[in-house]
Amino acid sequence: MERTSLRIRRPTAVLRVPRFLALVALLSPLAAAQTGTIRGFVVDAADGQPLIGVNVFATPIGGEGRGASTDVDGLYTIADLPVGRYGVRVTYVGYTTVRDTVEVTPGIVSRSYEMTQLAAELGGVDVSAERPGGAADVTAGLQRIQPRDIELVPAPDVTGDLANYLTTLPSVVTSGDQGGQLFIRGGEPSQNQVRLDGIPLYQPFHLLGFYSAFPSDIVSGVDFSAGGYGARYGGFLSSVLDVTARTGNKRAFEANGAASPFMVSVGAEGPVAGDDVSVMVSGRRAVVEPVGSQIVGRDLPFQFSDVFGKVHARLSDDSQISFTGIHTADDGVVGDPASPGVARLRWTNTGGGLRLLYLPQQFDLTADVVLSYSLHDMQQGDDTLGRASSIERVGAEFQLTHTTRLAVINFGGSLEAFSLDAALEGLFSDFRTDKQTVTEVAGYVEPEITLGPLELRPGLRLTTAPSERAVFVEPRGRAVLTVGAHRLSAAAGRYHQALVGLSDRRDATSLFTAWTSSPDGRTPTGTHLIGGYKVRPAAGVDVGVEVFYKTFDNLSVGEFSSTPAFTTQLRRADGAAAGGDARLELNGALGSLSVTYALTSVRYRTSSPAYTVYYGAEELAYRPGHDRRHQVSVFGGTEIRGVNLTARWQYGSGLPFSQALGFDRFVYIGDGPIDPLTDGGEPRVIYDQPFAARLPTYHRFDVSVDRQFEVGPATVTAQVGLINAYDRRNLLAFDIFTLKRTDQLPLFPVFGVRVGV
Amino acid sequence: MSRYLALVLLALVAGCDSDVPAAAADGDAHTIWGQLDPTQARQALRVEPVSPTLDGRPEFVGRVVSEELETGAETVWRDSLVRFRDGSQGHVFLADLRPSYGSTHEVRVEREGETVTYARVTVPPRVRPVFEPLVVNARSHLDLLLPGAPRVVGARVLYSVVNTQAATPVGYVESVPVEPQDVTSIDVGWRVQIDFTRQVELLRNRLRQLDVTRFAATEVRIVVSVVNDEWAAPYPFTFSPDLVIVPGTVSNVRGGYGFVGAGYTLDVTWRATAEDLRRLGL
Repeated sequence: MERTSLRIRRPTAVLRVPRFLALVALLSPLAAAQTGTIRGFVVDAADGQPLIGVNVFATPIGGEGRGASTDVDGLYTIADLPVGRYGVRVTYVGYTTVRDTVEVTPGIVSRSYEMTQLAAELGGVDVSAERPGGAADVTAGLQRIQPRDIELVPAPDVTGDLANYLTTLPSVVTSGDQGGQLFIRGGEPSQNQVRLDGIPLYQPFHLLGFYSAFPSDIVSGVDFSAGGYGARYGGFLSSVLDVTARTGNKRAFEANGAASPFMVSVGAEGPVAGDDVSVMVSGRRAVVEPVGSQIVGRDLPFQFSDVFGKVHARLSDDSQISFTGIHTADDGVVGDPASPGVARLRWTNTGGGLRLLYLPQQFDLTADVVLSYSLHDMQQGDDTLGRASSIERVGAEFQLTHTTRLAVINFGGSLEAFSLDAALEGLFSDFRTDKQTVTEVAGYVEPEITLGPLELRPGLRLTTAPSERAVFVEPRGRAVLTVGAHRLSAAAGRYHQALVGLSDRRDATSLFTAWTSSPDGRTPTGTHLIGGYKVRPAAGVDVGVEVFYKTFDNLSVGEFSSTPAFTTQLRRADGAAAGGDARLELNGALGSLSVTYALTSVRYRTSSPAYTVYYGAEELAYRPGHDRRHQVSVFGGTEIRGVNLTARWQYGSGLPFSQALGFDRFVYIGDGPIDPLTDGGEPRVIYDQPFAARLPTYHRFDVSVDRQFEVGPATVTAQVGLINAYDRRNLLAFDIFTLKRTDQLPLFPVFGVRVGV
Repeated sequence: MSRYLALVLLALVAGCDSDVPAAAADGDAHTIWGQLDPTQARQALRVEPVSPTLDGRPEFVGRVVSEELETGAETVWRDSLVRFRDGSQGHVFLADLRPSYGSTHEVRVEREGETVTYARVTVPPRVRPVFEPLVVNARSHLDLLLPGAPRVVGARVLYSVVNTQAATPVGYVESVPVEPQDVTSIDVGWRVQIDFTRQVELLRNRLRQLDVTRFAATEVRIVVSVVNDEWAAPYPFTFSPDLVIVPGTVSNVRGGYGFVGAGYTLDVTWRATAEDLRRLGL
């Protein structure tokens, strides 16, 4: 059943075209051909939010049609259409189909559409089997995450959070439910690029692993690349998490508030000055320390908060502008406070950005410009004696997109300036930091070429760091072959990371990360290779398999020494990660279920003549602390008589750790006699080989039920649930000096309520 | 399918132990430090059980015994609690024993009649040092041969000098180490080559810091430690603390850690002529 709902926005203004855009456009064959382009935005009629992945298909009378999908801005472009009359069909799962007739003339024809949710109109039609996305919908490492995906994972709060969802993915390893550390396909947390509306954020994951700076309420869509990402992204070795925030309701005011033993939150959004401008604000504050700790009878010294705001304005049919701002703060202790080396940790992120999306009326070109500022501070210990690190970034990025019949040509560039400062207080005895300023200038080109069922996306990124006197030439590439229900994909690329996050990974609770340029002057580089296969054997059933191989060269790792000191020396290491994962996603009338399994192997190699003494060979190969070999995740949800039930079970094999064989006192043997009567010696750790032992396995079951009620003008959502329902004693950290363990959260009953008006 | 999945999950859960693999220290492993010195009538060894925790001080249970393997003579060492220079306390085991030159001993920690940790060590033979003729040139040097020495460490030269610029001569004794690469193994034992060109330069620098610019040597002695073969620097020429602290790096202890050496200090006076000293600038 298709219903037509047509709202067409006509062009309202034409902005002045910069000269360089005109030059680009002159190179286009479009200028002289008798063809035209239809383009525009597709938004949800209810709130004016852009709809991502909408199919827009233009068919000439008696001819073959062509189509395009909307991107994160709801923008579609169908280029090089011969002039004439076209029937346009706009379809999206769960929404009424929109039909339109468009007269294509030489040049640009703007058509923007608003779509109405089908389920809302018809009182509930099951569209879950056709739902795009989900854990199995991965294309060579790239997964598009939608808010609905996030809501499927039981959380200790009525509102979901992106971090909570990420921990269910087979490509993501966490060291526990505290610390906010995500290791993605062998990479370290500081090797993950995280962006919010183009603003880089350096530690946006909160101390409690359920939470990040990205509550599902503010998320419009997320592109998560576990590797093999395209030429648009640079400067990080392992992964990209590109979050696009919602633009805010442009039709009506909304406000909400929620409370649970973990968190209280408030949010509001609505139109300003008509329906072209929206404002959205959101704020959350953890209450787990005063409230949650009373429930479980255990200290939970975690304080964190985040505030977010976004103003989005539709300047015309061809231009949009948005301002995004965010601030996060974390303060707490991970591990046993009584253990040596465990100290209070604090960090903040502050970010702001301006994004302009501009489509010149005369040319088939999209210009996406982002100006952004980021500041990340981290402190360990107290104010006077502690360690501290800060990274401040100012950047300008642009991407120009030109669409032709055969290809979408993306090219762009960026200019970034970083100011770094760190006080390591002897964390690494052979490395001291000074204030540093680093600049990077990058340019890239990345056409998207479609050859029947084959989509190719070759790319090349050039980066120069004048302050470091380095140039990086990085080829990237993606290919996707779709035949019927089968999809084969592959991605590869070279990457570098000029700014590194130094951490002492000898200890799982050592979360302090100092940002600096490469300590030995050798910039870390890496290579990614990813292959994938996805099939939809039946409606509502998706199966995906991926394999990957990543290299990480010129890493800086802490060296193990037999002195139980909290300082160490840096050693250069090369790493490699290989593995694969299998994903099954079931969606149907009964609900949805995701089952994933990952097999991963991470190995580091480092060498030093001294290792001949330590380990019998100059080269030392070991598995770092995030080498989780097996990981299983099962989660899903269903609705029974208006009650939503979500559940998750996770399993992870034990992480490597460096076991102490024991402790004794060392008396120096040197060039002369030993004097046992006077020399008391010094404490010594008798380590086994680094990371040669494995911690216990991890597994946990969470379950949550919630129900919505209409109370007058308000929508009330009430939730009850259990985190770690069978009270598994999962280890977070183990102090090898004292043999004391710090466990993750015990059985934690949660209950929450959210009120929205 | 869901039934099979549930079974798999149940098996995974049931098979999971939440305990951390225990540290290997089980009370049997001990750390021993010390040496057997044939020039001393009383020997001392630091012996302590390996602790499972950093701040733990497990009680010593058992006894320390040494046996001279050639004769079968057994000595039971007596426990004593000692306060060390740094104020800490520890167990040092003492024995009234003067090991013979060239004898081999096994030092054992026994618990309930069983050996849990032991070290076997051979005392170096008595060595009679021989000086080679002094060579005076751009690199003036003197070779001291130590025939039959298994290994030599810690070679240094002690210079007794007087300040000739002062109205009342003042005496000084300065120790200048011999470079490790100048202590080498030869067919018949070991050779310590004293590079006087470098030594005198270092000596002058030290004395200059004491405001002594004119001096005269009254005695030159070479002091070396003749030690057992296992007393070897782990990395070319160096006993770097960062290296030797690594368990097992310099160790002959089985079933535990540490090092039981054997050796003695040899103090040899070089009978230099006045002409030799003058030519060397001493």
